[in-house]
Amino acid sequence: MRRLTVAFAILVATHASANPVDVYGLGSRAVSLGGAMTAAVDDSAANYYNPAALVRGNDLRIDLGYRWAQPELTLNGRDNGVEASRGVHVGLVAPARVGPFRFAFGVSLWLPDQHLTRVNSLAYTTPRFPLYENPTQHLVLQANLAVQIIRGLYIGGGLTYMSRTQGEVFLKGTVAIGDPDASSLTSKVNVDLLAVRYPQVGILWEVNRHVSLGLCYRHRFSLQLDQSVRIDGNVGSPPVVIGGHFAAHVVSTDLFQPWQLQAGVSAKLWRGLGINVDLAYVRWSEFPVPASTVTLDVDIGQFNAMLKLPRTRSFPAPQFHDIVVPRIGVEARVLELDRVALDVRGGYVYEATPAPEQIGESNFADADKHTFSAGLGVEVRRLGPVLPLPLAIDVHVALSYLPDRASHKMDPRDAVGDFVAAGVVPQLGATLRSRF
Amino acid sequence: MRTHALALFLLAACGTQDSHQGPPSHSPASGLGPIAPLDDPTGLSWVPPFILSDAARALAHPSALTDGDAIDLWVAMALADRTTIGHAHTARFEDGLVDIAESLHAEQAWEGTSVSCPSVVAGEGERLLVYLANGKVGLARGDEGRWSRRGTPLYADGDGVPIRSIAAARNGDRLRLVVLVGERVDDLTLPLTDLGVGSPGWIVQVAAMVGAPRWGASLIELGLRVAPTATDRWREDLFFGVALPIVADLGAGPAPTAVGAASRYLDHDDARFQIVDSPILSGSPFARAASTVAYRGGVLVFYVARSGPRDAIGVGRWP
Repeated sequence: MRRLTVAFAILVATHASANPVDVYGLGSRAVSLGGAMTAAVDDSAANYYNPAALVRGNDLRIDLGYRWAQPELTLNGRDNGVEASRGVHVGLVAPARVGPFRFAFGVSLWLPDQHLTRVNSLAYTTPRFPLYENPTQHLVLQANLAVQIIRGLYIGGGLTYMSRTQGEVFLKGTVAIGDPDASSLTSKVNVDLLAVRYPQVGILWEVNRHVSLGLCYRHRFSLQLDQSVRIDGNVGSPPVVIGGHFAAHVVSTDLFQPWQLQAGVSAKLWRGLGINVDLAYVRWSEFPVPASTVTLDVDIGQFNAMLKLPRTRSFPAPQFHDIVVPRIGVEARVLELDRVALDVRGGYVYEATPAPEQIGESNFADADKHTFSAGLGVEVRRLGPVLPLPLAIDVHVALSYLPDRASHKMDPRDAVGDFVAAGVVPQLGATLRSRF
Repeated sequence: MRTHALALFLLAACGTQDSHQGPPSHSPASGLGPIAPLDDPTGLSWVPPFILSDAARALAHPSALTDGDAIDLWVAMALADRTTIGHAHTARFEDGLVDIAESLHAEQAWEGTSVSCPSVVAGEGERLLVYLANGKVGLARGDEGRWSRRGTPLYADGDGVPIRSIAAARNGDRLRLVVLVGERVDDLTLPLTDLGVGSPGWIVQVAAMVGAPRWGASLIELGLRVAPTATDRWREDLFFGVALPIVADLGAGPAPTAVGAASRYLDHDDARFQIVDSPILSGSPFARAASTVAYRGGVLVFYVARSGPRDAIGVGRWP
């Protein structure tokens, strides 16, 4: 019996790019400082911003926070329906010392309260904001180890864990064309939630009491969606095909994160006034073609010759380009009392869009992003024997503004046509930082 | 029989894999669709998709204009011995189009016995009703119930071949007209100031459409839309009914038809219409013709399809 097998790319694309921490940051202090933290971070957010900073302090740290972001993104003035991203952040820093050797272990968990993971494949042509949809709906776990090389010089690194799905659906029985009541199928479903990892490493140099320099590298990663469906059985009642089968195996890119190299400087200027500046190089040009590869295997006996399976189709590269992202954050202590201190923070990020103008079939909407952030930090001291060290409560607000960006289609027959992408993304959050 | 049914099923299933993609889930209403017939009766006092039908007459060639929430629709009404142009009005889409009244019938010598293919466009303080009569294009100006006809055809040159269908639209200070001559679509432009008596100085582009739909056999009706895209470029969309190739003896009944589209940007006067690869109106066999109007932030699409024993006017909405 001759089988027909064909592998081809179909017009299905997934929301791909980055993860919720990349998009919205981690921890209220960090977000309110525009994410310019590579050289300034000193709490559990170091698990993301610079693992080397985990060993900076001597205290055990436990941080707990909540963050909410609601993209209000529009295409031609119509809401694109991008879901909110919200969830809990838990972080831990555990320093230790063996003789003169100092090291620290850190772990950070971002736990979204809507979806632990999300896969949503749309047709290749469907207009969407790929940087704001699936990426913000994933669990992120980071674990790092940092060591002190010499006094003031630290290195650190670790892994970030995310999840992906792999599944198979089997159906077996009789398919009676034109007579559904005569069909009989039994099913077996086997779906796994698998972990994927990517590494990050960082280095931090405290040049003196006032200036620190940091460098952090986060590797690229790609989450693959792997699904299979297989139907075994007879076709027709009575059967005209005995022992036939149909199998489809779909592999697609669910998430993609470009590698990033982030350099930062933090300077404490005068009486509690500090300024942080970061510059990140983000390698978006490796953004893969967001199409699914489908392998079909069909065996319907005498009818195989009548099948016309779809031709293989290749898609053009998405042509994303690398970007450099500047970040700046300013922090000032405006109140210093015996038991309470108050910090005021502000930040700004400019993120040029890596997506080219969408002139062909794809509709990956995006625009330059200006993010303005502000925050307050209250530090409360001497809370008793249970909390002898200061407890910090940080809150932040941020607003990302995406100015109008037009895409002019080359083909007047395009089903979607010209579009203008725009929007704002308001964000709120709070973090409780404790030291023991 | 079962063998053939299975083979047809499989062929049809495979064919859809290679076809035009489905509608985007939250598309901007800027492109060409595809368009689906309205199927949700929520909030409507009529049963979609048929918004206008007539117990005695087959309806064809819809042409719609909107004014706020109000919709005016003109159609060709076929009787046994002649065709006239009918008009229906509704203050709100939800109320449907209930009553249809005759708006124009043939009365001039050159018109013969029938008028058809109404295309109504908004002029300067008046409406322009462009119609087909006796293979020539006529013009009436004014408004409902008081049309004032031009005494001679507005356009009559089809290289000696009768014009089969027409559609008109307004583009700024010009009237745009497409005519179906045999299987050829010609494209005509005329300043609105030249609509009076005398011989209009049409600018004609012969064979304005590139090729022919590979999935159809014969063009039957035209519709035309001039609309800005979301980026304020102007685009012209040509809708056409197509008789599909007969692949099997279907017995008595109408031949299958479909609605296709072609489009072009208006950056260049000599740009020709590019045909969309596959039919744009899904889920409605025997549909043909299409007239589109912007309505409440989207697009309404009026089309002709079989409802019971006669053709009626269905409506789709996009997005």
